[in-house]
Amino acid sequence: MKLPTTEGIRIFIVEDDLLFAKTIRYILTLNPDHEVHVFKTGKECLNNLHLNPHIVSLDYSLPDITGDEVLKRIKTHDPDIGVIILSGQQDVATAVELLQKGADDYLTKDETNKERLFNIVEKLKKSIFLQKEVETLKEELTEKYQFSESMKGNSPAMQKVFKLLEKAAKSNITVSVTGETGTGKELVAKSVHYNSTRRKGNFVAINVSAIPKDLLESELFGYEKGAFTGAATRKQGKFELANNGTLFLDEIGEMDLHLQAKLLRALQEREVTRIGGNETVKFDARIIVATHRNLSELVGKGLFREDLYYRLLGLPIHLPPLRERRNDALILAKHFLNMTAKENKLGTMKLGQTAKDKLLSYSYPGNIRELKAIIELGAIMCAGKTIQKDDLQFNSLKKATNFFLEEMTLREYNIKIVRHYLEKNDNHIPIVAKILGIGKTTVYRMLKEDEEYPLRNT
Amino acid sequence: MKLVLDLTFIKSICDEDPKFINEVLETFLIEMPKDIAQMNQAVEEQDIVMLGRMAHKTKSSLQTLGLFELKELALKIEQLTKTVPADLAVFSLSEQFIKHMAGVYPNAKKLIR
Repeated sequence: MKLPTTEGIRIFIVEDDLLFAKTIRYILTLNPDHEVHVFKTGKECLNNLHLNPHIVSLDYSLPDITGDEVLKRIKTHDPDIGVIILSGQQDVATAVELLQKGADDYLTKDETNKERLFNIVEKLKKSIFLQKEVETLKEELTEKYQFSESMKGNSPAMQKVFKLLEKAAKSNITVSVTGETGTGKELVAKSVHYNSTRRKGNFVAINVSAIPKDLLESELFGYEKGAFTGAATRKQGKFELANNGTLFLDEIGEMDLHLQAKLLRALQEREVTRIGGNETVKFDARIIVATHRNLSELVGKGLFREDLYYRLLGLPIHLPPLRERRNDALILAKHFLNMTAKENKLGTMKLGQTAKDKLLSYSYPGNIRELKAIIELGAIMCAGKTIQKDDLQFNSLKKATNFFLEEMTLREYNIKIVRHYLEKNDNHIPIVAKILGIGKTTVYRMLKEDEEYPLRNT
Repeated sequence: MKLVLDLTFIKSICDEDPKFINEVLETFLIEMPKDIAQMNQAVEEQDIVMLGRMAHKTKSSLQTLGLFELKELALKIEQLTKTVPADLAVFSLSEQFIKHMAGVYPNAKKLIR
């Protein structure tokens, strides 16, 4: 259906009784946004479907073609056209039958009045505009997740990733994404989905590690009403919700063995059974899994089923950590800066040379997620339009030391190294001296020289 | 048989807009005789299917113009055309219906302003 670009709604009235057709037309055209066309036969209506009506008011009993057939052909032309069946009171059974065949509502001619007809049309309009909104949002998402927009990087490692993404998007293969936390595994999954033929379906994500084990099963497979205490209504599982779309299982390595067996069965049979139910529900979804752990190692330790591992492996995509592609950090930083500036209406902003140097010297233990946070904060903290090194704050929770962040003297570097190892070894000076290949007295001397933290706790 | 039109429904729809009421009445006076002529022909040709089709078609106009007794008669004719074997009483009922309709037109004309 061509969705209305404005509030305008095109309505077909298919009615062989001209007097009644005129009455309905009069009611509907009371709203100037309605463009109404009247057709006396089913054939006339079908011949004019190229006008792309949004709603059709259909008399179930037409002189040339049965209402059943007209409905079928309208829905074949475009399943999103809203069809209202008009029938006599005594023909309600037929109207109900047509509802089961895809009609959206019905109205008996005996009770046709302004309010009833308007209410039905308004209800269908809401559904049409809701659909328009959903389609617009999906288009926006598709644009957002174009590979060139969503994934940034010129490094050879990322170029390899881009090639694999394209292959994944063009096929229906299961994709397994690995990489450290913050490397963008979910972004990869979304990009594959929104660049594939499944983009009109749902992208359903579930983080295995974020949901208690007891709840995960019902989240994945759904449940029937009364399946357990609190199951007040039937609930569809993620597999069902992802039908015709993509199911993204994040942190798959955290799934327990019992559920792994159920998952394997679901993937093999391409069907699930809701908890507490007997009926099997078929699903057709692409599976993308991600983990920051080494699944083959987990298999070796007996923590992950080997058969499931091979079923999920599919097309493996490994996302390199940012520290292995430092030059990409600047490309990403510029991208995040533009986004932040736009979202916060900060005007055009850029990275100063000192900021670039600082960004290039950092190791990003939190990967792209950390870089994004650093840039967002930097943009907000920046007094002008150019971000300098002092605007960038590295607050990584991981104690990955980068000695080149700030310019220091050799003596200061030495002290920092000693402090690092002391911290790592419970301030045990003999061990630190041994590790560093220096005498204990040297360690003591260096600590005495440390102005910031004079000899303490050691 | 009540042959006088009751325009309550039409008036409620158009807030008594005389232009629309006239349009409805004129449409009735143009279209209904065509349907009745076809019905007449169906009676002459003992064409049950056509008779049922025309009876069905007239119902909504009759309902709209408040000719409820005639609408019920049309419904009865339609239902009889669907019985198996065909109930031959449908022809005499149809003749009655056609005769009554002839009495409706002058009443409709009187209502045009």
